[in-house]
Amino acid sequence: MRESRTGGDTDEIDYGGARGQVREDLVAAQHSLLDHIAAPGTWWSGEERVAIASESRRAAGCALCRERKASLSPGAVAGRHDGPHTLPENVVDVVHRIRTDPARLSRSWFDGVIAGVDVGHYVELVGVSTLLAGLDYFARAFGIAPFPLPAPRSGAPSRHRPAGAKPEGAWVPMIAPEDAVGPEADLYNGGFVPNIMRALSLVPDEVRALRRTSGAHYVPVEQIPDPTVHRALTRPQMELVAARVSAINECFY
Amino acid sequence: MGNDDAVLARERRALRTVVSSEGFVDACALIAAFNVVDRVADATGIPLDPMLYAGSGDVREELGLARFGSSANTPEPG
Repeated sequence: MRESRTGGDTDEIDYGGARGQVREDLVAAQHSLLDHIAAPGTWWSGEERVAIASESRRAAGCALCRERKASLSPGAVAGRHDGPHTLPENVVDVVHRIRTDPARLSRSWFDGVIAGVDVGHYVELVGVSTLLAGLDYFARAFGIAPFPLPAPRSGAPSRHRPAGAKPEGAWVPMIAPEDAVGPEADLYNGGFVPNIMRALSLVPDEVRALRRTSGAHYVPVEQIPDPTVHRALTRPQMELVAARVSAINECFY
Repeated sequence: MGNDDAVLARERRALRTVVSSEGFVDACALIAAFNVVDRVADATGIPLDPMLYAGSGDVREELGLARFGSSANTPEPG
């Protein structure tokens, strides 16, 4: 993975001369994700969010992460992540772990993280670092350079904590469909609401971004249960790719 | 996906031939989507949705998915 570049103009994503092959809705979603990453968030500033994205990208080539990944226990390998860093060390470590070794995240690991990072900050960090990972995987699969990271936008985080978020059986508080009211009334669009769409609901804007990316890169959430919905690939072909990715990632969900 | 650029280039060409350029783009998009989904799921500790859990017992057993660490986030019902 190439070193992060910043300051890119998200109006001009470079698809390596193959722009015409990429669906318009996919291009629009990827523009939207880069803009989302650059904007002030709920708990992190635009500058911090771009720094999180940058760490997510850097983690893919981090020597310490590679050594930990190869170790029987990631906690057994000490050291420093490849830098330079602008974020606190504990935040850098969380981003690198989520990017490079997600299958071995555990409840006890999370409890240790949350002792030093507010859970709202954590959920937003998960959103930013994973959305950037998705863009990087797209670029790698497509055979082009990673999209330049956007220039951060100024402004203060909203600090909006949704009243409906509560313990729901995950590590993080989530909003149940029946509690998605008021500012969160648009969050789920009714119908089937899988836990993956609720996972980031402590920070509702991350759910909106995840919905957008899922809708363009897979199928719209409300159409997931309909087996007749597909794209150029048949639905079984789509599910085969999805299952293969998840098997490689050793993800039970 | 691996780090061998030559292998990846060959596989991209093969995939385009088999499923068309549009299908290739879809495959790239799916790789992106599920690398997001898997990380969000594993980093937030969400359990498998009850409806999906109830309908996937045979597949989970056949594929041995309980060996994945994140299976601990989905407790056995009851």
